[in-house]
Amino acid sequence: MESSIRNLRLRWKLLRSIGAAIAIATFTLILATIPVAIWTLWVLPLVIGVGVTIFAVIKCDVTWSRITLLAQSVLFAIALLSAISARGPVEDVPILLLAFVMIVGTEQVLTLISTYGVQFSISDSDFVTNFNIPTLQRSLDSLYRRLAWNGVIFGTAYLLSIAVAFLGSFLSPVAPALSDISVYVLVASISLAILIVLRAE
Amino acid sequence: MALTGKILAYLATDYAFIFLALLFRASWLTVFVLPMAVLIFASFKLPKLQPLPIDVARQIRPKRSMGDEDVEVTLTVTNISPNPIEALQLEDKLPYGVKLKSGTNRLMLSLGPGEAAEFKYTLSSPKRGRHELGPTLFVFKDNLRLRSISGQLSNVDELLVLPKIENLGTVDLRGRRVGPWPGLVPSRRMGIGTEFFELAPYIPGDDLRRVNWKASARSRQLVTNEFEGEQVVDVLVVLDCSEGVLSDIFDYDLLEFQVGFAASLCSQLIMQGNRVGLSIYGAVRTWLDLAFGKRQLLRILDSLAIVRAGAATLPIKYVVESVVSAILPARSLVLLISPMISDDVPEMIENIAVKGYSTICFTPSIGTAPSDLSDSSRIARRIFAAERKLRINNVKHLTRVIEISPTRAIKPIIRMRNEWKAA
Repeated sequence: MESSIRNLRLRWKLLRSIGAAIAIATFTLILATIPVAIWTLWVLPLVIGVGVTIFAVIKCDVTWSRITLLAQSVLFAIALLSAISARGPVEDVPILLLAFVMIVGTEQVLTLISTYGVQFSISDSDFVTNFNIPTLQRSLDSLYRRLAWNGVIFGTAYLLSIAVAFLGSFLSPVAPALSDISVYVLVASISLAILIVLRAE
Repeated sequence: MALTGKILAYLATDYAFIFLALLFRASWLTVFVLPMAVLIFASFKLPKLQPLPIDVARQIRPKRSMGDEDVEVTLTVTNISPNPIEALQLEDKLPYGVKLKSGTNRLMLSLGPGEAAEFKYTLSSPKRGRHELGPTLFVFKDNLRLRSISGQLSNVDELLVLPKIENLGTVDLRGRRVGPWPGLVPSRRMGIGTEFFELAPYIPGDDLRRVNWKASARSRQLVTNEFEGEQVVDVLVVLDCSEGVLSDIFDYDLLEFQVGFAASLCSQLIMQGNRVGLSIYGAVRTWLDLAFGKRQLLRILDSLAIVRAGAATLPIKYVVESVVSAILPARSLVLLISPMISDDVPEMIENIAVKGYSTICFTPSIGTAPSDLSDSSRIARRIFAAERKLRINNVKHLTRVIEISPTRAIKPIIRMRNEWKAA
């Protein structure tokens, strides 16, 4: 019984560490896209962001997770605006895109951690008296599976987006207008398709 | 199936990127639409989200709590479908104001086909009353948490928290009318008891141990000691929980104090073998016929558990007088627990006394005024207290009035026999 609880705790801590690592990596990545002249001004938000992430992971609280997402979104908006103002963003797109996907991914991980945290962040005595350990283990297995599955989806989403971006850059020397139009058409058709799918559901 | 707020946020972000791309004429911004679109498509197409039937059984221990004790709730969740459940979010709704002591009422579960999982949580000594536990809310969400199917099961269970009973010790009553059953109340008649009543000539068959040899020697014939019979009395406990109970003049929770006192009094009277009835006047108006025994005590405690203070549609004098006339034999005893706020109460006591019933009135005492009160509040409080005192004085020739207070132990008051024996 004790070894089962220890194993459960270890796996839960590992999961939270992964969550924290993803969140902090996202902060760092966003910071990397912000020009050096600007990002020195944003060290404080970064420090706050990392602090908030640690709180979100330790407390497994949905409010802290949302604050983390907010901090990342604000930093990303700054990065995006600085890229727009520089008018030379094409080389930064993969990193910005990765940062964007990681923000969405961080939100996903932190939400799952806060949802599952209610049952895993309790004392050992509570584990024994209030829960069935095999049930919790199955629950944790499911969480790992979900996160792995989500990782694959997010990775695919990133790679597809990069592929489209590069396709646009390949097309632009041949037919600059077509490349822009092709992206717009693609986006508009995806948007329409999304609406149709939602309506069908 | 419902879309979560998250998918709407994704769509809003997508359209924001399209808008920004058009605004700044930067087509590269539209690339950010793609990850969101892929996620939404993945959510809709890859894992099938379907509600699976589950069964949730709840066990509450104790189902009827005696107050000041924690309540343990065990939930058994069973997947009654032939398919596995990957992630099921459950929340067992707690009654308002009840807090968790340990465990959790929210859980994420994975269950195989036909599999059952059990988990417990403990409620931290819920307050007196009837609480409803449940229903259990369930949510199925897809992997990306973009779509959900939620619902609730119709598994509401009732938890009854009874008022806490205090041991009052023996309550010495002296009623004008006693019942035929042996009890603890002196009957003013010869019978089976412990108190000496009178000497009587020896009748063949009398127990020789009852012969008073000294008296027999003096009177030159055999005389025996006769004892005062001790029997039971019929008592109706009347609890006044009208809106006066909510008055600020009492610096403690008067309702809970009165209910606790009524429960303790009824318990003690029943344990002494008396026939006890109950009439409650307040937002919840109810009455219980006279009866003996532990079942009656449980009935009384059940009724006291759901007492709520508040205005009733009918005046107290009408309600109580009707109940007294209907269920209480003449010359029985009425124990009134009332803050004596309403003008109807003295009138009611007078009417009951006129009908020949004995009454004893327990009235909670008013504490000292808090120091932070304004002058006007202090004066208002004094006027209010004076009016109440006047009401008490007006009924003192009809009934014994005993002041009780949560700061003063009740047991010694009960033991002061002369102070509160009914006339």
